[in-house]
Amino acid sequence: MEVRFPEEPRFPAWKIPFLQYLVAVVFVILLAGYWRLQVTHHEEYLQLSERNRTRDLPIIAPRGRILDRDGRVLVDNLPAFSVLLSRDDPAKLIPEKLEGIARGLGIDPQALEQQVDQSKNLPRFQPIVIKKSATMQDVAFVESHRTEYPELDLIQVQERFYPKHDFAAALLGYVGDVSPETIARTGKRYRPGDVVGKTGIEREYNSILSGQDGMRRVVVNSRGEEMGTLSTIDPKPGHDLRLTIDLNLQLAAEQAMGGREGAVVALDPRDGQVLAMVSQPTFDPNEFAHHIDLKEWRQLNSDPEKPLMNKAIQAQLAPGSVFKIVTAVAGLETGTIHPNYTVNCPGYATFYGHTYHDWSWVHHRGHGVVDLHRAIVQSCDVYFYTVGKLVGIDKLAYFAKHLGLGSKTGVDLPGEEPGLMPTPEWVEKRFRHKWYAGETISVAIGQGAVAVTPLQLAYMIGGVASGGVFYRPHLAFRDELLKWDLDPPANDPRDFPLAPGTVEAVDRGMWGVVNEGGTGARARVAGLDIAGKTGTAQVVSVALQHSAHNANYKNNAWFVGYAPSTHPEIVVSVLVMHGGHSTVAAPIAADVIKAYFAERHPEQAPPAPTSRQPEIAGRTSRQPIVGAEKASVFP
Amino acid sequence: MARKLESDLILFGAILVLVIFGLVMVFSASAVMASERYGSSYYFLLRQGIWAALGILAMVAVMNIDYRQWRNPRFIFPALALLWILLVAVYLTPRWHETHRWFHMGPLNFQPSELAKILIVIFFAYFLDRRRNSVNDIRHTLLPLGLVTGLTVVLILKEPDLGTSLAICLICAAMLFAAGLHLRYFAGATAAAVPLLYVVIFHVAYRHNRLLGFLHPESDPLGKGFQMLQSLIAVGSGGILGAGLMEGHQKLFFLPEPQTDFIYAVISEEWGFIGAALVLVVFAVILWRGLRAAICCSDHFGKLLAVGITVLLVGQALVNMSVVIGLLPTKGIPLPFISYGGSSLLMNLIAAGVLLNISQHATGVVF
Repeated sequence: MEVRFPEEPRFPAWKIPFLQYLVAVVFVILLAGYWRLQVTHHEEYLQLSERNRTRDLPIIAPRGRILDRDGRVLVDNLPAFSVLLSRDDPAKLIPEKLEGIARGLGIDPQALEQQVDQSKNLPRFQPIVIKKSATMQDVAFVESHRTEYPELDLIQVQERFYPKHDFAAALLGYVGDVSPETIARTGKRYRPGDVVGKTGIEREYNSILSGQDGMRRVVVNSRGEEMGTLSTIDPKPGHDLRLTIDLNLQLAAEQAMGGREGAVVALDPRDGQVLAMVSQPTFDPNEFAHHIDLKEWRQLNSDPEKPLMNKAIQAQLAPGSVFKIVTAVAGLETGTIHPNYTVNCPGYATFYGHTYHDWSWVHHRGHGVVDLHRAIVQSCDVYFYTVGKLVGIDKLAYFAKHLGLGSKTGVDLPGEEPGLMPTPEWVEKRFRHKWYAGETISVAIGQGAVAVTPLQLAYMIGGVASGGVFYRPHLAFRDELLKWDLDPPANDPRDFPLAPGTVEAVDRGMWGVVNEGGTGARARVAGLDIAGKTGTAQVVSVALQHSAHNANYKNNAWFVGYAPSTHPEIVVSVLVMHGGHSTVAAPIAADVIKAYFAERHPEQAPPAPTSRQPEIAGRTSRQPIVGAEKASVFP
Repeated sequence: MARKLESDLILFGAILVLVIFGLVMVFSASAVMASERYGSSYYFLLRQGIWAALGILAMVAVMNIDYRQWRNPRFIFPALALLWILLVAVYLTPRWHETHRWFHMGPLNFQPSELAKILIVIFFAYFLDRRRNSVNDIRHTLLPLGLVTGLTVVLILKEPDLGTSLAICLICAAMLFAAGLHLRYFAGATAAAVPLLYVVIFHVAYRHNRLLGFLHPESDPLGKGFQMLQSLIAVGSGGILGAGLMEGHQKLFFLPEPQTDFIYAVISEEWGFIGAALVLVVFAVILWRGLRAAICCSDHFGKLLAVGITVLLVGQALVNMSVVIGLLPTKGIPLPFISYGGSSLLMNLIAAGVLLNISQHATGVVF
């Protein structure tokens, strides 16, 4: 074998082999090192590795608060504890153990087992929340059973708190655990046990209010004790949301309702801001935040007065005589009648072979000869029967639609109902028969199939009184939504210009309703320029028929008032279900309008009526807020 | 007799084995973390796969370039200048992982300090070859070498990247030794380094003891020794046979950077002592074949280049493996061919290509 000598003798030939041996020694040292660790000390390290456990403890991001227009807190959070169960070693979660845990925490063992079963697909180091709003006893139980149940952990959370309990509950909504359907629909956005808004504002603006939970990956020892934190993902708290709601008006409206079943909506017709929205009876959303039990839920759900329903946007009822404003506008705008057009009202009238009574017939006398103004002031049915017949159902429906009835207003709340404005087409489609001419007569005074929501009536009257300018009712400020990359609808008004003469005639009529001894005289407040229209409706909508099954079939009372009578700043729609007569609704609207002027125009407002306001049971906590300074926060 | 030049197939095979095994281990080490962080468990594998393909192509290309081409000063000095520009430029890039080490090009990141290693090797081989008769001349040999090395090392230290800086010093020392630098220089350097070494070693020993003391859970497991301990646990719990591919626990959140600097810990955990030793053996094969190429190479430049590249590849591996079991405190040195890291893989494969070309000239000597 040929051996080649280096060409350059100066290159020290021994050095490369030397390097080789040197490195070989390092190899041997390394091998020895690995042998020592992996073979000699294997057991020790195996033990250590088994002790190496991580847990991902969620850091719950607090939901944003909900504030009124002046920053007063309507919905807040309170610190609370949740109990977590780790499942890093599923084999150890034997039924006996789960039962012990369930007993200690006072939860149903079967439900717990089911929950553990359902979370099989979640990553193992992700503990599950097995009890929210842990009591002091629960905390003590977890702390004192560390050795027995190392799987348990406590985390501090910010739990939803509605400081005013049932106050504005239908509007604000409530929160609850995210449903499996929502998890499936939204992909990975939610995990079981996450809290989301279920109804109302909480639901509509969930994306703003809900933050993004953080996470702390901790090392725990075999006793479940935290040894330290590996990594932390900070939670992103939800944003506070300011509503257009005025706390003082809302309080005034709720107090004025005095627990009667129904709804109140106060709108600013100049921009569509909802200033107050009441639905009665109400409920305490706190109960939902803390795991409502099935029995309570059923009770709330089957209550004939439907406390969970937001009647301001979901009750679809006949508007009664408030609809006469639509009939009047249709008559005037189509040129069918003049304001000085007169009708003789003997207390009844006959159309198409049917006799239709005026509401005054109970006294067996009519209104006599009335013009439009008198007809609105006295709410003369015969007058509007006649106008309705002259205008015809098609034009009535056309105007009703353009004045905002029969379709959703687009308010930023989930579950708004559209109401119904019947047309011959609708009847044919729905009932497969021709429109009965007589139905037009009923529709003209807001009976028959016409159905509206309290919000729609406020929207309609506000728009008419503003000369045909309709702003979409809304509860969140558009510019604030834009800040959060939401895309709220533009706040441009929908114009349906009405002739000045029309607006003036209708406005004066509605002023008379309140101020000329008309049907809404009880809404009169000395010193305030209030106008309005009453309504008394007999029909109970299909949707609500069940709710009326044991109650009397007393009429629903309506009143929609606004002030000032020209260029109104506030319009208030009041519904008192089974109120009997509209006279019960009028003073409620007056109270809200008074509260508005007391706040915005104190120089015009009459002295605050302190004696008249009824004290409602269980509401003493609200008292300090009335008239509280704007910047103050709820106690 | 004119013979067809053949590359060293054993060396070639050893490198290929490491690259393929590396892809498997990168996936195993990163899958869970990648799917958690990036939504895809293939995140790291995919990127490493692209670099591996590029790297192997580059290696085959370089393998067919006569290594003597690299001796050209018109290549070496502009390349060094470019390297320094890149090392300065990288300092102006946004911080990433708390350091300025990377250029980002779409999904791929490039680390200029990886380029530094191979360029310094080529420069040393070139310069020591030029001065082969006066290697011990301080003014004309050692000073220029020291300046070039010093500038490069300082720039890399500023990133900061202590591991790569030390690796470069190690490679330079090995090449100087091979080139015949007088032993008294090494003795002097060692003497100067003794206090430093003492502290380092003492600290390592102290920490080692303290880590083993962690058998008591009351002690602080998340202090400074945490990462080291987790690495030791990974290696130790692997035992002889290992936990099995993909079965390691330590890579899940406990090991720092399981797919890069501590991939050997994952290998040790999942393949046990057998697997760790086999990887070590493959590196030993690279050492053997690489130095064989150096010995058999007929010219000074080729010998030095082969030594430098072999030390570059094997030395880094040894340092990395020592770090994993706490024998050395340094971090930041990847395991060549295996660790995740595109520019490191590419540069190591290019270096291997040069070495393979040198091996073609190892004519008939049986080592």
